Amino acid sequence: MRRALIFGGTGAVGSALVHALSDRGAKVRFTWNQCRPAAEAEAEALIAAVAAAQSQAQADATATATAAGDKQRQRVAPTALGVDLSDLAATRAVLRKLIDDDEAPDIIVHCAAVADVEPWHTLSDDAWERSQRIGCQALFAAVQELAPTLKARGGGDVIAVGGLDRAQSLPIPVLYAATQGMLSGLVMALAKQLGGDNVRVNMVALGPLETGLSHKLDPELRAAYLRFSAQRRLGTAEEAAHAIAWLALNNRYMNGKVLPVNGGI
Amino acid sequence: MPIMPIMHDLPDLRNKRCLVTGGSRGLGRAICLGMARTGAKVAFTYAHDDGDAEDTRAALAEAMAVRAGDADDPDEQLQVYKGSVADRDHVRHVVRDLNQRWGGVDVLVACAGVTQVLPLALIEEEEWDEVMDVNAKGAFLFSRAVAKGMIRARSGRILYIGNFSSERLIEAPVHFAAAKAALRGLTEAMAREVGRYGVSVNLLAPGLLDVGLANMLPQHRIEEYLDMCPMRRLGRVDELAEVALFLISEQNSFMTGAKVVVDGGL
Repeated sequence: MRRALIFGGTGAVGSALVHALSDRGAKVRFTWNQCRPAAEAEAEALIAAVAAAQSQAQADATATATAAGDKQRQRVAPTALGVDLSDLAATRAVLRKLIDDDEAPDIIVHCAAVADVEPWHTLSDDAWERSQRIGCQALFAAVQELAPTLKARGGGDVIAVGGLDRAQSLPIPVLYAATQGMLSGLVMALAKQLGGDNVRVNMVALGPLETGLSHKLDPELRAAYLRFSAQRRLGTAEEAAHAIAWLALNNRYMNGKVLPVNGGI
Repeated sequence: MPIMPIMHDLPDLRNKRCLVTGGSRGLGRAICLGMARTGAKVAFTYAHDDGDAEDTRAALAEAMAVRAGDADDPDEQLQVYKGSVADRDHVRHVVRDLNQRWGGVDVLVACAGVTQVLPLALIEEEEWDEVMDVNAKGAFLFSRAVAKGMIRARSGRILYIGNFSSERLIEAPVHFAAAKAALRGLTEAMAREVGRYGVSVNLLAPGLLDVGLANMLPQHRIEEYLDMCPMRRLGRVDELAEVALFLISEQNSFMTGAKVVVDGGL
Protein backbone atom coordinates (compact mmCIF):
# COMPACT_ATOMS: atom_id res chain seq x y z
CA MET A 1 0.00 0.00 0.00
CA ARG A 2 1.27 3.45 -0.93
CA ARG A 3 1.63 5.91 1.93
CA ALA A 4 1.06 9.57 1.16
CA LEU A 5 1.89 12.64 3.20
CA ILE A 6 0.11 15.82 2.14
CA PHE A 7 1.39 19.14 3.40
CA GLY A 8 -1.70 21.34 3.63
CA GLY A 9 -4.56 18.86 3.63
CA THR A 10 -7.43 21.07 4.73
CA GLY A 11 -7.37 23.60 1.89
CA ALA A 12 -9.61 23.20 -1.16
CA VAL A 13 -7.15 21.21 -3.27
CA GLY A 14 -5.54 19.50 -0.27
CA SER A 15 -8.80 18.10 1.04
CA ALA A 16 -9.91 16.99 -2.45
CA LEU A 17 -6.56 15.23 -2.73
CA VAL A 18 -7.01 13.49 0.63
CA HIS A 19 -10.24 12.07 -0.79
CA ALA A 20 -8.74 11.21 -4.19
CA LEU A 21 -5.72 9.37 -2.79
CA SER A 22 -7.71 7.58 -0.08
CA ASP A 23 -10.29 6.50 -2.66
CA ARG A 24 -7.48 5.02 -4.72
CA GLY A 25 -6.27 2.92 -1.83
CA ALA A 26 -3.41 4.98 -0.44
CA LYS A 27 -2.86 5.48 3.28
CA VAL A 28 -2.99 9.25 3.68
CA ARG A 29 -1.59 11.58 6.33
CA PHE A 30 -2.18 15.28 5.98
CA THR A 31 -1.06 18.34 7.87
CA TRP A 32 -3.14 21.28 9.05
CA ASN A 33 -2.20 24.38 10.92
CA GLN A 34 -4.07 27.63 10.79
CA CYS A 35 -6.85 28.32 13.27
CA ARG A 36 -6.58 25.21 15.40
CA PRO A 37 -10.23 24.57 16.44
CA ALA A 38 -11.55 25.13 12.90
CA ALA A 39 -8.78 23.06 11.38
CA GLU A 40 -9.32 20.24 13.89
CA ALA A 41 -13.03 20.24 13.15
CA GLU A 42 -12.34 20.25 9.42
CA ALA A 43 -9.79 17.48 9.75
CA GLU A 44 -12.25 15.35 11.70
CA ALA A 45 -15.00 16.02 9.17
CA LEU A 46 -12.63 15.12 6.36
CA ILE A 47 -11.65 11.85 7.99
CA ALA A 48 -15.29 10.98 8.63
CA ALA A 49 -16.30 11.89 5.07
CA VAL A 50 -13.49 9.88 3.52
CA ALA A 51 -14.23 6.90 5.77
CA ALA A 52 -17.92 7.04 4.81
CA ALA A 53 -17.10 7.34 1.09
CA GLN A 54 -14.72 4.42 1.42
CA SER A 55 -17.15 2.09 3.12
CA GLN A 56 -19.79 3.02 0.51
CA ALA A 57 -17.31 2.37 -2.31
CA GLN A 58 -16.34 -0.92 -0.72
CA ALA A 59 -20.00 -1.96 -0.53
CA ASP A 60 -20.52 -0.91 -4.16
CA ALA A 61 -17.44 -2.78 -5.30
CA THR A 62 -18.61 -5.92 -3.57
CA ALA A 63 -22.10 -5.63 -5.00
CA THR A 64 -21.20 -4.96 -8.64
CA ALA A 65 -18.69 -6.24 -11.15
CA THR A 66 -15.62 -4.04 -11.17
CA ALA A 67 -14.45 -2.26 -14.30
CA ALA A 68 -11.15 -3.03 -15.95
CA GLY A 69 -8.29 -2.18 -13.64
CA ASP A 70 -10.63 -1.11 -10.84
CA LYS A 71 -9.53 -3.70 -8.36
CA GLN A 72 -11.04 -3.77 -4.94
CA ARG A 73 -8.50 -2.32 -2.56
CA GLN A 74 -7.96 -2.20 1.10
CA ARG A 75 -8.99 1.27 2.24
CA VAL A 76 -7.69 3.15 5.24
CA ALA A 77 -9.05 6.32 6.84
CA PRO A 78 -6.65 9.27 6.64
CA THR A 79 -4.82 10.73 9.62
CA ALA A 80 -4.42 14.42 10.48
CA LEU A 81 -1.17 15.91 11.80
CA GLY A 82 -1.16 19.39 13.33
CA VAL A 83 2.02 21.19 12.35
CA ASP A 84 3.03 24.72 11.45
CA LEU A 85 5.09 24.33 8.26
CA SER A 86 6.75 27.70 8.89
CA ASP A 87 8.33 26.07 11.96
CA LEU A 88 10.92 23.90 10.25
CA ALA A 89 12.15 22.27 13.47
CA ALA A 90 8.60 21.18 14.30
CA THR A 91 8.07 19.98 10.73
CA ARG A 92 11.26 17.91 10.82
CA ALA A 93 10.27 16.45 14.20
CA VAL A 94 6.95 15.21 12.75
CA LEU A 95 8.76 13.60 9.82
CA ARG A 96 11.34 11.93 12.07
CA LYS A 97 8.57 10.49 14.20
CA LEU A 98 6.97 8.98 11.09
CA ILE A 99 10.31 7.40 10.19
CA ASP A 100 10.82 6.11 13.73
CA ASP A 101 7.32 4.62 13.73
CA ASP A 102 8.07 2.90 10.40
CA GLU A 103 5.31 4.98 8.82
CA ALA A 104 7.41 7.06 6.42
CA PRO A 105 5.49 8.01 3.27
CA ASP A 106 6.59 7.12 -0.25
CA ILE A 107 4.47 9.94 -1.69
CA ILE A 108 5.00 13.53 -0.54
CA VAL A 109 2.64 16.19 -1.87
CA HIS A 110 3.30 19.79 -0.99
CA CYS A 111 -0.02 21.58 -1.22
CA ALA A 112 0.57 24.48 1.16
CA ALA A 113 1.06 28.12 0.24
CA VAL A 114 0.59 31.57 1.67
CA ALA A 115 -1.85 33.52 -0.45
CA ASP A 116 -0.48 36.94 0.27
CA VAL A 117 -1.95 39.51 -2.05
CA GLU A 118 -0.41 42.50 -0.28
CA PRO A 119 1.12 45.05 -2.69
CA TRP A 120 4.82 44.40 -3.18
CA HIS A 121 5.93 47.83 -1.91
CA THR A 122 4.48 47.26 1.57
CA LEU A 123 5.57 43.62 2.01
CA SER A 124 7.52 42.98 5.21
CA ASP A 125 10.64 40.85 5.50
CA ASP A 126 8.74 38.57 7.87
CA ALA A 127 5.96 38.00 5.34
CA TRP A 128 8.57 37.16 2.70
CA GLU A 129 10.32 34.67 4.95
CA ARG A 130 7.11 33.02 6.14
CA SER A 131 5.83 32.61 2.58
CA GLN A 132 9.02 30.94 1.43
CA ARG A 133 9.21 28.67 4.45
CA ILE A 134 5.66 27.39 4.03
CA GLY A 135 5.58 27.54 0.25
CA CYS A 136 8.93 25.93 -0.46
CA GLN A 137 11.39 25.31 2.36
CA ALA A 138 9.06 22.92 4.20
CA LEU A 139 9.09 20.67 1.14
CA PHE A 140 12.88 20.81 1.00
CA ALA A 141 13.06 19.83 4.67
CA ALA A 142 10.68 16.95 4.05
CA VAL A 143 12.72 15.62 1.14
CA GLN A 144 15.93 16.01 3.13
CA GLU A 145 14.49 14.00 6.01
CA LEU A 146 12.75 11.35 3.94
CA ALA A 147 15.18 10.80 1.03
CA PRO A 148 17.16 7.98 2.71
CA THR A 149 13.95 6.10 3.53
CA LEU A 150 12.58 6.63 0.01
CA LYS A 151 15.79 5.26 -1.42
CA ALA A 152 15.75 2.27 0.93
CA ARG A 153 12.15 1.46 -0.05
CA GLY A 154 12.99 1.47 -3.75
CA GLY A 155 11.69 4.89 -4.73
CA GLY A 156 8.76 7.23 -4.44
CA ASP A 157 7.14 10.41 -5.63
CA VAL A 158 7.50 14.03 -4.57
CA ILE A 159 4.94 16.47 -5.96
CA ALA A 160 4.88 20.22 -5.53
CA VAL A 161 1.51 21.81 -6.18
CA GLY A 162 1.89 25.35 -7.43
CA GLY A 163 0.14 27.97 -9.43
CA LEU A 164 2.58 28.78 -12.18
CA ASP A 165 4.29 26.71 -14.81
CA ARG A 166 7.21 29.14 -15.19
CA ALA A 167 6.37 29.47 -18.90
CA GLN A 168 3.93 32.35 -18.81
CA SER A 169 4.16 36.00 -18.00
CA LEU A 170 1.18 36.68 -15.76
CA PRO A 171 0.28 39.55 -13.43
CA ILE A 172 0.66 37.67 -10.13
CA PRO A 173 1.38 38.96 -6.61
CA VAL A 174 5.16 39.34 -6.32
CA LEU A 175 5.70 37.24 -3.21
CA TYR A 176 3.54 34.38 -4.47
CA ALA A 177 5.35 34.41 -7.83
CA ALA A 178 8.76 34.44 -6.14
CA THR A 179 7.86 31.50 -3.92
CA GLN A 180 6.48 29.59 -6.88
CA GLY A 181 9.66 30.24 -8.84
CA MET A 182 11.70 28.91 -5.94
CA LEU A 183 9.49 25.84 -5.77
CA SER A 184 9.81 25.04 -9.47
CA GLY A 185 13.59 25.48 -9.31
CA LEU A 186 13.69 23.13 -6.34
CA VAL A 187 11.67 20.53 -8.25
CA MET A 188 13.95 20.67 -11.27
CA ALA A 189 17.13 20.35 -9.23
CA LEU A 190 15.87 17.68 -6.80
CA ALA A 191 14.72 15.58 -9.76
CA LYS A 192 18.31 15.40 -10.95
CA GLN A 193 19.56 14.47 -7.49
CA LEU A 194 16.98 11.81 -6.72
CA GLY A 195 16.09 10.31 -10.11
CA GLY A 196 18.83 7.68 -9.78
CA ASP A 197 17.10 6.37 -6.66
CA ASN A 198 13.82 6.02 -8.54
CA VAL A 199 12.40 9.03 -6.70
CA ARG A 200 10.49 11.24 -9.14
CA VAL A 201 10.06 14.92 -8.34
CA ASN A 202 7.46 16.87 -10.31
CA MET A 203 5.24 19.89 -10.10
CA VAL A 204 1.57 20.40 -10.86
CA ALA A 205 0.86 23.97 -11.93
CA LEU A 206 -2.79 24.79 -11.37
CA GLY A 207 -4.79 27.47 -13.09
CA PRO A 208 -7.44 29.43 -11.22
CA LEU A 209 -10.01 27.24 -9.49
CA GLU A 210 -13.54 27.89 -8.28
CA THR A 211 -12.33 27.46 -4.70
CA GLY A 212 -9.24 27.91 -2.55
CA LEU A 213 -6.54 30.51 -3.12
CA SER A 214 -8.21 31.68 -6.33
CA HIS A 215 -10.86 33.36 -4.19
CA LYS A 216 -8.29 35.99 -3.38
CA LEU A 217 -7.69 36.78 -7.04
CA ASP A 218 -8.40 40.28 -8.22
CA PRO A 219 -11.87 40.11 -9.88
CA GLU A 220 -10.46 41.79 -12.97
CA LEU A 221 -7.78 39.14 -13.26
CA ARG A 222 -10.36 36.42 -12.85
CA ALA A 223 -12.49 37.95 -15.61
CA ALA A 224 -9.46 38.23 -17.89
CA TYR A 225 -8.66 34.59 -17.26
CA LEU A 226 -12.19 33.52 -18.12
CA ARG A 227 -11.96 35.52 -21.33
CA PHE A 228 -8.56 34.22 -22.46
CA SER A 229 -8.28 30.65 -21.22
CA ALA A 230 -9.02 27.97 -23.80
CA GLN A 231 -11.75 26.33 -21.72
CA ARG A 232 -13.19 29.68 -20.55
CA ARG A 233 -13.99 28.37 -17.12
CA LEU A 234 -12.39 27.94 -13.73
CA GLY A 235 -11.29 24.50 -12.63
CA THR A 236 -12.52 22.58 -9.63
CA ALA A 237 -10.51 21.26 -6.70
CA GLU A 238 -11.55 17.75 -7.73
CA GLU A 239 -10.14 18.19 -11.22
CA ALA A 240 -6.87 19.35 -9.70
CA ALA A 241 -6.88 16.41 -7.28
CA HIS A 242 -7.42 13.86 -10.08
CA ALA A 243 -4.32 15.09 -11.90
CA ILE A 244 -2.19 15.17 -8.74
CA ALA A 245 -3.41 11.71 -7.71
CA TRP A 246 -2.56 10.30 -11.12
CA LEU A 247 0.93 11.71 -10.91
CA ALA A 248 1.36 10.40 -7.36
CA LEU A 249 0.17 6.86 -8.03
CA ASN A 250 0.72 6.06 -11.69
CA ASN A 251 3.62 8.06 -13.04
CA ARG A 252 6.85 6.15 -13.51
CA TYR A 253 9.03 8.07 -15.99
CA MET A 254 8.04 11.73 -15.75
CA ASN A 255 10.62 13.52 -13.62
CA GLY A 256 11.60 17.13 -12.97
CA LYS A 257 8.67 18.38 -15.01
CA VAL A 258 5.62 20.57 -14.71
CA LEU A 259 2.15 19.20 -15.38
CA PRO A 260 0.09 22.27 -16.30
CA VAL A 261 -3.52 21.82 -15.19
CA ASN A 262 -4.91 25.21 -16.06
CA GLY A 263 -7.69 25.02 -18.63
CA GLY A 264 -5.34 26.29 -21.32
CA ILE A 265 -3.54 29.57 -20.66
CA MET B 1 15.22 -4.80 -4.93
CA PRO B 2 12.32 -2.33 -5.03
CA ILE B 3 9.50 -3.27 -2.72
CA MET B 4 7.29 -0.28 -3.47
CA PRO B 5 4.17 -1.47 -5.23
CA ILE B 6 3.26 0.53 -8.31
CA MET B 7 -0.38 0.57 -9.26
CA HIS B 8 -1.35 0.15 -12.83
CA ASP B 9 -4.82 1.62 -12.84
CA LEU B 10 -5.95 2.46 -16.29
CA PRO B 11 -8.68 5.05 -16.66
CA ASP B 12 -12.14 3.96 -17.67
CA LEU B 13 -12.57 4.46 -21.42
CA ARG B 14 -15.68 2.33 -21.76
CA ASN B 15 -17.45 2.93 -25.08
CA LYS B 16 -15.11 5.77 -26.03
CA ARG B 17 -14.59 5.81 -29.77
CA CYS B 18 -10.83 6.09 -30.17
CA LEU B 19 -8.73 6.57 -33.28
CA VAL B 20 -4.95 6.14 -33.18
CA THR B 21 -2.76 6.97 -36.16
CA GLY B 22 0.39 4.90 -36.44
CA GLY B 23 -1.13 2.27 -34.19
CA SER B 24 0.39 -0.93 -35.52
CA ARG B 25 3.59 -0.85 -33.46
CA GLY B 26 5.59 0.86 -30.74
CA LEU B 27 3.87 3.47 -28.61
CA GLY B 28 0.79 3.63 -30.86
CA ARG B 29 0.25 -0.10 -30.44
CA ALA B 30 0.65 0.12 -26.65
CA ILE B 31 -1.89 2.96 -26.53
CA CYS B 32 -4.35 0.92 -28.63
CA LEU B 33 -3.93 -2.05 -26.29
CA GLY B 34 -4.55 0.11 -23.22
CA MET B 35 -7.68 1.49 -24.86
CA ALA B 36 -8.93 -2.00 -25.71
CA ARG B 37 -8.32 -3.23 -22.18
CA THR B 38 -10.30 -0.41 -20.67
CA GLY B 39 -13.38 -0.83 -22.77
CA ALA B 40 -12.89 1.54 -25.69
CA LYS B 41 -13.74 1.02 -29.33
CA VAL B 42 -10.43 1.20 -31.15
CA ALA B 43 -9.51 2.10 -34.71
CA PHE B 44 -5.91 2.42 -35.83
CA THR B 45 -4.14 3.36 -39.02
CA TYR B 46 -0.82 2.14 -40.34
CA ALA B 47 1.19 2.90 -43.43
CA HIS B 48 3.25 -0.09 -44.51
CA ASP B 49 3.72 -3.25 -42.50
CA ASP B 50 0.73 -5.57 -42.87
CA GLY B 51 2.35 -8.14 -40.56
CA ASP B 52 2.65 -5.70 -37.67
CA ALA B 53 -0.89 -4.49 -38.26
CA GLU B 54 -2.24 -8.03 -38.20
CA ASP B 55 -0.36 -8.81 -34.97
CA THR B 56 -1.78 -5.70 -33.38
CA ARG B 57 -5.27 -6.45 -34.60
CA ALA B 58 -5.04 -9.94 -33.09
CA ALA B 59 -3.76 -8.58 -29.77
CA LEU B 60 -6.55 -5.99 -29.63
CA ALA B 61 -9.20 -8.55 -30.52
CA GLU B 62 -7.94 -10.75 -27.71
CA ALA B 63 -7.96 -7.85 -25.23
CA MET B 64 -11.50 -6.98 -26.27
CA ALA B 65 -12.68 -10.58 -26.01
CA VAL B 66 -11.35 -10.77 -22.45
CA ARG B 67 -13.36 -7.69 -21.57
CA ALA B 68 -16.41 -8.73 -19.64
CA GLY B 69 -19.91 -8.43 -20.96
CA ASP B 70 -19.84 -5.25 -23.03
CA ALA B 71 -19.04 -6.54 -26.49
CA ASP B 72 -22.15 -5.85 -28.56
CA ASP B 73 -20.40 -6.52 -31.84
CA PRO B 74 -16.68 -7.28 -31.50
CA ASP B 75 -16.00 -6.75 -35.20
CA GLU B 76 -17.44 -3.27 -35.10
CA GLN B 77 -15.38 -2.30 -32.06
CA LEU B 78 -12.08 -2.78 -33.84
CA GLN B 79 -11.23 -1.11 -37.14
CA VAL B 80 -7.94 -1.08 -39.02
CA TYR B 81 -7.05 1.20 -41.93
CA LYS B 82 -4.00 1.16 -44.17
CA GLY B 83 -2.78 4.42 -45.67
CA SER B 84 -0.58 7.45 -45.25
CA VAL B 85 -1.66 10.06 -42.69
CA ALA B 86 -0.46 12.70 -45.16
CA ASP B 87 -2.92 11.50 -47.81
CA ARG B 88 -6.05 13.58 -47.42
CA ASP B 89 -8.22 11.02 -49.24
CA HIS B 90 -7.14 8.33 -46.79
CA VAL B 91 -7.86 10.65 -43.85
CA ARG B 92 -11.27 11.57 -45.24
CA HIS B 93 -12.11 7.90 -45.82
CA VAL B 94 -11.09 6.81 -42.30
CA VAL B 95 -13.06 9.51 -40.52
CA ARG B 96 -16.10 9.19 -42.76
CA ASP B 97 -16.13 5.42 -42.28
CA LEU B 98 -15.87 5.75 -38.50
CA ASN B 99 -18.61 8.36 -38.45
CA GLN B 100 -20.84 5.91 -40.29
CA ARG B 101 -19.93 2.91 -38.15
CA TRP B 102 -19.66 4.52 -34.75
CA GLY B 103 -21.45 7.82 -35.14
CA GLY B 104 -18.28 9.81 -34.44
CA VAL B 105 -14.85 9.84 -32.84
CA ASP B 106 -14.33 10.86 -29.21
CA VAL B 107 -10.56 10.55 -29.02
CA LEU B 108 -7.81 11.09 -31.58
CA VAL B 109 -4.23 10.13 -30.78
CA ALA B 110 -1.91 11.29 -33.57
CA CYS B 111 1.02 8.98 -33.11
CA ALA B 112 2.19 8.29 -36.67
CA GLY B 113 5.79 9.33 -37.06
CA VAL B 114 8.77 8.75 -39.26
CA THR B 115 12.40 9.84 -39.37
CA GLN B 116 15.80 9.06 -40.79
CA VAL B 117 18.80 9.42 -38.52
CA LEU B 118 20.90 11.69 -40.73
CA PRO B 119 23.08 14.77 -40.31
CA LEU B 120 21.80 18.03 -41.80
CA ALA B 121 24.03 17.88 -44.87
CA LEU B 122 22.70 14.50 -45.93
CA ILE B 123 18.99 15.26 -45.58
CA GLU B 124 17.41 15.48 -49.02
CA GLU B 125 14.53 17.83 -49.66
CA GLU B 126 12.23 14.84 -50.27
CA GLU B 127 13.17 13.44 -46.86
CA TRP B 128 12.42 16.77 -45.20
CA ASP B 129 9.00 16.80 -46.91
CA GLU B 130 8.24 13.22 -45.92
CA VAL B 131 9.12 13.78 -42.26
CA MET B 132 7.10 17.00 -42.16
CA ASP B 133 4.17 15.36 -43.94
CA VAL B 134 3.90 12.33 -41.71
CA ASN B 135 4.72 13.93 -38.37
CA ALA B 136 3.05 17.33 -38.71
CA LYS B 137 0.70 17.49 -41.69
CA GLY B 138 -0.83 14.12 -40.87
CA ALA B 139 -1.69 15.36 -37.36
CA PHE B 140 -3.29 18.45 -38.88
CA LEU B 141 -5.32 16.51 -41.46
CA PHE B 142 -6.71 14.06 -38.92
CA SER B 143 -7.41 16.81 -36.39
CA ARG B 144 -9.31 18.82 -38.96
CA ALA B 145 -11.28 15.75 -39.97
CA VAL B 146 -12.38 14.79 -36.45
CA ALA B 147 -12.73 18.29 -34.98
CA LYS B 148 -16.03 18.98 -36.70
CA GLY B 149 -17.76 16.06 -35.00
CA MET B 150 -16.13 16.81 -31.65
CA ILE B 151 -17.23 20.44 -31.78
CA ARG B 152 -20.76 19.37 -32.63
CA ALA B 153 -20.69 16.93 -29.71
CA ARG B 154 -19.20 19.63 -27.45
CA SER B 155 -16.67 17.02 -26.32
CA GLY B 156 -13.48 15.44 -27.52
CA ARG B 157 -9.86 14.67 -26.75
CA ILE B 158 -6.95 15.12 -29.13
CA LEU B 159 -3.47 14.02 -28.16
CA TYR B 160 -0.36 14.52 -30.26
CA ILE B 161 2.73 12.44 -29.70
CA GLY B 162 5.74 14.73 -29.90
CA ASN B 163 9.30 14.01 -28.91
CA PHE B 164 11.85 15.33 -26.42
CA SER B 165 14.11 16.28 -29.32
CA SER B 166 11.98 19.37 -29.91
CA GLU B 167 12.17 20.35 -26.23
CA ARG B 168 15.87 19.98 -25.52
CA LEU B 169 19.03 21.12 -27.20
CA ILE B 170 20.22 17.67 -28.13
CA GLU B 171 21.68 15.94 -31.15
CA ALA B 172 18.64 14.94 -33.22
CA PRO B 173 17.72 14.75 -36.90
CA VAL B 174 16.80 18.35 -37.67
CA HIS B 175 13.75 17.57 -39.80
CA PHE B 176 12.36 15.30 -37.10
CA ALA B 177 12.95 17.88 -34.33
CA ALA B 178 11.40 20.60 -36.47
CA ALA B 179 8.33 18.50 -37.30
CA LYS B 180 7.81 17.59 -33.65
CA ALA B 181 8.18 21.26 -32.68
CA ALA B 182 5.41 22.04 -35.18
CA LEU B 183 3.12 19.86 -33.08
CA ARG B 184 3.69 22.19 -30.13
CA GLY B 185 2.30 25.15 -32.05
CA LEU B 186 -0.53 23.01 -33.36
CA THR B 187 -1.36 21.93 -29.79
CA GLU B 188 -1.52 25.44 -28.39
CA ALA B 189 -3.42 27.07 -31.23
CA MET B 190 -5.84 24.14 -31.58
CA ALA B 191 -6.46 24.10 -27.83
CA ARG B 192 -7.30 27.79 -27.89
CA GLU B 193 -9.57 27.44 -30.89
CA VAL B 194 -11.60 24.42 -29.80
CA GLY B 195 -11.39 24.70 -25.99
CA ARG B 196 -14.64 26.61 -25.75
CA TYR B 197 -16.42 23.64 -27.36
CA GLY B 198 -15.27 21.17 -24.75
CA VAL B 199 -12.47 19.71 -26.89
CA SER B 200 -9.07 19.43 -25.24
CA VAL B 201 -5.78 19.20 -27.13
CA ASN B 202 -2.52 18.17 -25.49
CA LEU B 203 0.96 17.09 -26.47
CA LEU B 204 2.89 14.19 -24.97
CA ALA B 205 6.63 14.43 -25.63
CA PRO B 206 8.40 11.19 -24.66
CA GLY B 207 12.10 10.82 -24.08
CA LEU B 208 14.00 7.94 -25.61
CA LEU B 209 11.93 4.76 -25.33
CA ASP B 210 12.74 1.08 -25.56
CA VAL B 211 11.00 1.09 -28.96
CA GLY B 212 11.13 3.21 -32.10
CA LEU B 213 13.89 5.79 -32.47
CA ALA B 214 16.19 4.09 -29.95
CA ASN B 215 16.43 1.08 -32.25
CA MET B 216 17.81 3.31 -35.01
CA LEU B 217 20.47 5.05 -32.91
CA PRO B 218 24.08 3.95 -32.46
CA GLN B 219 24.93 2.64 -29.00
CA HIS B 220 27.01 5.68 -28.03
CA ARG B 221 24.01 7.96 -28.52
CA ILE B 222 21.91 5.80 -26.22
CA GLU B 223 24.65 5.83 -23.63
CA GLU B 224 24.83 9.61 -23.89
CA TYR B 225 21.09 9.78 -23.15
CA LEU B 226 21.44 7.43 -20.19
CA ASP B 227 24.30 9.56 -18.83
CA MET B 228 22.15 12.68 -18.95
CA CYS B 229 18.98 11.06 -17.67
CA PRO B 230 18.74 11.06 -13.84
CA MET B 231 16.67 7.87 -13.90
CA ARG B 232 19.47 6.15 -15.85
CA ARG B 233 17.20 4.17 -18.11
CA LEU B 234 15.12 4.44 -21.26
CA GLY B 235 11.40 4.97 -20.95
CA ARG B 236 9.22 1.91 -21.33
CA VAL B 237 6.48 1.92 -23.87
CA ASP B 238 3.83 0.82 -21.34
CA GLU B 239 4.76 3.71 -19.03
CA LEU B 240 4.24 6.21 -21.81
CA ALA B 241 1.02 4.57 -22.93
CA GLU B 242 -0.33 4.98 -19.40
CA VAL B 243 0.43 8.71 -19.52
CA ALA B 244 -1.35 8.95 -22.87
CA LEU B 245 -4.39 7.11 -21.54
CA PHE B 246 -4.61 9.44 -18.57
CA LEU B 247 -4.33 12.49 -20.81
CA ILE B 248 -7.26 11.38 -22.99
CA SER B 249 -9.42 10.24 -20.08
CA GLU B 250 -12.38 11.96 -18.46
CA GLN B 251 -10.29 12.23 -15.31
CA ASN B 252 -8.12 14.74 -17.08
CA SER B 253 -10.64 17.49 -17.62
CA PHE B 254 -8.85 20.76 -16.81
CA MET B 255 -5.73 20.31 -18.92
CA THR B 256 -5.54 21.59 -22.45
CA GLY B 257 -2.88 23.21 -24.59
CA ALA B 258 -0.37 21.45 -22.34
CA LYS B 259 2.95 19.97 -23.25
CA VAL B 260 3.80 16.99 -21.09
CA VAL B 261 7.43 15.95 -21.35
CA VAL B 262 8.15 12.47 -19.99
CA ASP B 263 11.87 11.81 -20.25
CA GLY B 264 13.06 10.63 -16.85
CA GLY B 265 14.25 14.12 -15.92
CA LEU B 266 16.62 14.96 -18.76
